[in-house]
Amino acid sequence: MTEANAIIKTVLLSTTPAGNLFLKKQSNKSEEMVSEAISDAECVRRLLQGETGAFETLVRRHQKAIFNLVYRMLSDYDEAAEISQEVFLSAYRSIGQFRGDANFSTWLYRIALNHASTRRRSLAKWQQRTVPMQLTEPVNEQELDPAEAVEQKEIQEQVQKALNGLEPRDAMIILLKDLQDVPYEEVARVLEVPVGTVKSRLHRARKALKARLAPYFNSRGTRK
Amino acid sequence: MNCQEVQAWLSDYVEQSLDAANLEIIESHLSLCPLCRAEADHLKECIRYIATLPSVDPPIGFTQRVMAQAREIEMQPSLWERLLFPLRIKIPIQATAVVMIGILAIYLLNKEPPDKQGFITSEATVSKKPLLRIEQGNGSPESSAEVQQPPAKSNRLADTRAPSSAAPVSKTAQTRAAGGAQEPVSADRAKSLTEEPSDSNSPSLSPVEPRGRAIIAGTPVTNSVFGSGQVPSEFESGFLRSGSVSIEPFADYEMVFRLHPQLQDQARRDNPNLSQKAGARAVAERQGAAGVLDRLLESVGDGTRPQTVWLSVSKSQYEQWKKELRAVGTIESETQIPLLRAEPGAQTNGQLQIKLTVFPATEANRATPSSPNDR
Repeated sequence: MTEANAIIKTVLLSTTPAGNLFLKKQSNKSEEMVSEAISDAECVRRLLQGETGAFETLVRRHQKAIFNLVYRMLSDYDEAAEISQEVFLSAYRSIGQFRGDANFSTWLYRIALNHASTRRRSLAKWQQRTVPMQLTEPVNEQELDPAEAVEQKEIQEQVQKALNGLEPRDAMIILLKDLQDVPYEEVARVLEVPVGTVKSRLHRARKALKARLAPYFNSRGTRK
Repeated sequence: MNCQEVQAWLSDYVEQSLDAANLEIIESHLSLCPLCRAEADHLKECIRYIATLPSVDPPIGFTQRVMAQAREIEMQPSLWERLLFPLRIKIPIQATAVVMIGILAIYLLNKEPPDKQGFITSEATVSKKPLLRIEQGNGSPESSAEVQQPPAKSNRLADTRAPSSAAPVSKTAQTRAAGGAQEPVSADRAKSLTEEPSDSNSPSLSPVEPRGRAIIAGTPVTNSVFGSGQVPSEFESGFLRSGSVSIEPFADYEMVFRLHPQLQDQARRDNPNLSQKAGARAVAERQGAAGVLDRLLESVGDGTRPQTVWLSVSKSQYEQWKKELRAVGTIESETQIPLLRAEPGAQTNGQLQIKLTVFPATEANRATPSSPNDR
């Protein structure tokens, strides 16, 4: 009986939008739980079968990581929202080209890297852009005393400025590894280079970031 | 291990991914080297700073916006759907369009081919030119020349299609026709031939068949003067007519000629009521060169801008003709055009084809007039 229900549900999901709607009306909460339980690969498979709703699961699952990555690349909230949206729509349009031999997130990161790099190059006077920290940085000032909050804000501004000054690929490799904690193997697949190359590039990028933060380190040492 | 080697391993050290042996080496170096120690600390701080950057939430409704756009993409019909659906509307429209295209194609195919049309037009252009031949009255009878006026653009085609056999043909035209020219002679032109003035002292007008000026579907740039019947065979051939370019006739000599300023000035002084052309002619008549000047002035028009004329002069009279020319102006240059044939005039019955560019008198010439007999 349970197997028969599952078959009916699959048929309804994969064939008629009305059936899909019927199931949603029946129990939205249970479907969210089901959608959270299914893997990216299953979502992609359903999407390829024409189930647009499966894409919503993928968007909800990856939107924060992609948005943060793009935001740190561009340091502009509105630009990041626009580019992140473009990333997901590009993925939706070209989902047929996703071969499935890598994680969906890896494929999505690669699309995000291309879009963000292109936009970053096209933005005029990128190096001189100011960081709208007061608008977007969610520093939780209630948990910190005012002095710590100010210092935290200053550090974040300095780090973002240093990231802005890096080459897009250097910034991306630091963000993938140190911000998103993506494994080396996946970073290598995103950048389409060997793992050893990723390690050497990451070391070089970190040194470049450290060089850009050197004035901050020196001033902090003087203050101390 | 020196500082440079240690610093190459610092990323692995701060990530704690070194094996035990290397870890011990690095740590022992860092305990002794404050520079490398500071380097490692700064690197560790950089990683920590990046890792502790606060997470930023996407804008509210981000997923809904993405999904709305995704559904728009989904709803967009494909190319085939746009072309074919709905069938009850698109199919009749497309069928009607196909029928219309077919009718248009048949209509275009039944029209006259463009090549043939172009050939007729070019032939009409050549045959319709109102031609004048000015035969010398007072000057040397050997140095006769014909003046070809620019063709009128209107009624070219209609004139070409006039039956040539029914039209009366003048003596000159008949001679040309007997010489092998195949151009049709129009009724209008034949009519003009019958009205030729018979006064032998005045320049007689007679039609000249269009020879040499292979101007196809365009207005000729210059006037042309040809000898009677001495037309190079290449201008008779059809390939020179078929096309849209203007081909100049060949010339054995090219001359640059400037009208004498004194001639014009004296003419104005003698008879201020006469026009410039008539005054100059009056002076030239006194100098025995009215025939040449007539032809030139007729050819060059108002004399205010350079004009090019083609002349046909008997080879034996060439030097005499140049002497007459010097009476009315200055020959500024004379160039023999190298041709493939061995001798000038060899294939034109001893007639030399001369391209003469006539310039009006200039102020510079007026300031330092040169004697006509200088050259």
